[in-house]
Amino acid sequence: MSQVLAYLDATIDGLTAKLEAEGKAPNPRKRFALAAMRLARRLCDPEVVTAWCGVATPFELLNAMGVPACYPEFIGGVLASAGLVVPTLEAAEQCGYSSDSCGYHRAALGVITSRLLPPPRLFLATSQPCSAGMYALESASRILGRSPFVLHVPTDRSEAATSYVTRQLGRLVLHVSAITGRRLAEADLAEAILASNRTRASLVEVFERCTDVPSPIRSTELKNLGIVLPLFFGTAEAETVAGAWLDELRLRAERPPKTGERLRLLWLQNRLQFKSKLIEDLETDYGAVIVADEFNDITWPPLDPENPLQSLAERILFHPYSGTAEVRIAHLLDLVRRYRVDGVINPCHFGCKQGTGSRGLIERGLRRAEVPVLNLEVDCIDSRNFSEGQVRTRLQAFVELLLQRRELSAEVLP
Amino acid sequence: MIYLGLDIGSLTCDAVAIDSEGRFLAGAVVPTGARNLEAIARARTEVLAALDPPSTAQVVVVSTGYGRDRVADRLAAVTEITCHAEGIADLLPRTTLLIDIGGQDSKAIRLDAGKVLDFAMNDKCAAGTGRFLEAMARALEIEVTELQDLDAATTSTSALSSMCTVFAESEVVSLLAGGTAVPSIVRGLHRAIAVRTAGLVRRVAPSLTGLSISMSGGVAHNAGVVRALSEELGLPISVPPRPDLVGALGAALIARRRHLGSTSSRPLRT
Repeated sequence: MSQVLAYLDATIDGLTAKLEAEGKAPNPRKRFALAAMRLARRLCDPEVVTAWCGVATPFELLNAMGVPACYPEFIGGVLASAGLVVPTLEAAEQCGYSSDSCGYHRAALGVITSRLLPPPRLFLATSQPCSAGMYALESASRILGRSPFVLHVPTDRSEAATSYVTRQLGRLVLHVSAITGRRLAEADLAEAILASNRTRASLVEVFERCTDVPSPIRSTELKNLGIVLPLFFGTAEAETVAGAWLDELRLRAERPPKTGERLRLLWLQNRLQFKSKLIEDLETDYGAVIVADEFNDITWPPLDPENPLQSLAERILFHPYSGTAEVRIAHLLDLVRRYRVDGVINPCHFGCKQGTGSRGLIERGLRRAEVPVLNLEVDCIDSRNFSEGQVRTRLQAFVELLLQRRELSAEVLP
Repeated sequence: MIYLGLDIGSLTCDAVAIDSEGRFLAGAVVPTGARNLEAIARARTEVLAALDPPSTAQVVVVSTGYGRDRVADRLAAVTEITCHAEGIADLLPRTTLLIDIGGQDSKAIRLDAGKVLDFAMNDKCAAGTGRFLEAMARALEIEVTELQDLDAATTSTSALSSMCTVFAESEVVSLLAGGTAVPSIVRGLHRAIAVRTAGLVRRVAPSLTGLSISMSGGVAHNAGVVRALSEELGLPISVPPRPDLVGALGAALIARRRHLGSTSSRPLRT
């Protein structure tokens, strides 16, 4: 634990000092990192009641109740980026968790089995879009002798499904209240919903600006934004980060940064969380820029302050990962069109049904639309399973193929 | 001007020299070993020493293979996928699908006139590659070069259930202990590689109709693997005379084109 705390404290201090020194500059990436590190720090505080949740959880509810919360994926990501994940993976494996299972979940389970961090008080699992995550949260809670709350998410988008999820969200609030002793005040929920909508509005413009050609952002700048920022939905922190990105992109529009962009790529699911220069090298060496991430998109309408639980339920049900792969493919093709993408990289994270389970479906769906796609075979968390040379060759060969495909002039062909 | 292609693989370091007209001048293959810088230097020395007549012309290098970034004076580093496609298009221009099995990678490459349309590579591990065959040959207590003759010596094919190098090795030992003849085991190994490689082929070519298939890489020297693959795919497979030099040849051809095309252009990658 001391190593993790030391890493978090040092990172928070460093980021805070840099932000203070740089005054009023938007600095969105640093503000985002600082928010994430502060959340991680709160999750490490044994005095704070925290929650680990499934990825479909509407965090506005928990934030309105003052419960810092995250996904197991957030835990794994923070540890991997700190270079501290391997002992937790080993701890989980030594307790019988398959080394072929999702590295994010193994890392989180390892945190519990090794008592690396104070365990959360609440486990709020969701049955979609990651059922393995539901089992990971159930496993973690059972180890501690607790029962998880499970939000069952249907895969259809009917009114009945909305009502069903809405009712369960009501029960989720009661469950959190019962354990924390905190009630969800109507005014707090209303403010969280409005704050969430303001964040959403900023992000809509941020992502719209990111569709520009050439891209105003570099390959790694929006890494993890769309998957981590929802943890802060309903808070001022989320508004600050989204607003900082908006300010930054407005500034960049006035003074467009020089770019060597030659290829525009879309990255599916999560990025590699441990340190690696692969993506930066792809941009530097070939001008191949990741201009879009699958999760960096707004796929829901503004939440209705009059019907907060219902509109949160609809957001869950209308997520592109909810339902068949057809829904997800349609969303990907929309991203490809909006961002004018040359090729798609699917990391196919080990042990993930969305990553490896739907690989063939996603590949066929994209290829039918003549969108080139590269399937990798990587574990975004477990660096022990990672051969940089192999992944580098696949990425570079894909980029070479795309350059040939676009029939760039002979000067850039090999 | 001499154009030199260097293919630094996990098992061998291959070099090909061509002239300004793109004509093959010489080739060399040396074991990569533990120190690939030494292997690169040796391959380079050997191929230049083999030039007849000897030449002191300037050398332009393009490197490929997993060690491509280790060549200091390269004009460019290009992946082996692109180089193999380029090389096979020069040797067997009708090729529309190339299977390359090297030391630790296997690849299926769809191509058109030397340009890569699509490719698939082995997942996760190196099962079914040159290293796999080396390990199996060790378990059988034979040389890897004997595999193809043993394959031709029988029509019996043992069933092997595992492609994990460790498990397959112990399966081979069990078969030997149970009295299974070595040629039958060898054919079983070749069939296992063929089935796995055919999976890669079908990922880039769901329909094989009309494809002209060729094979490159060191494993293409093994006629038993080529036979098994041909049977598995139901199509003939062409193998150029020096399949292990295809990647290096492609790199040399790219060096030539890039150098003659424009010396001031932005490189694909250096």
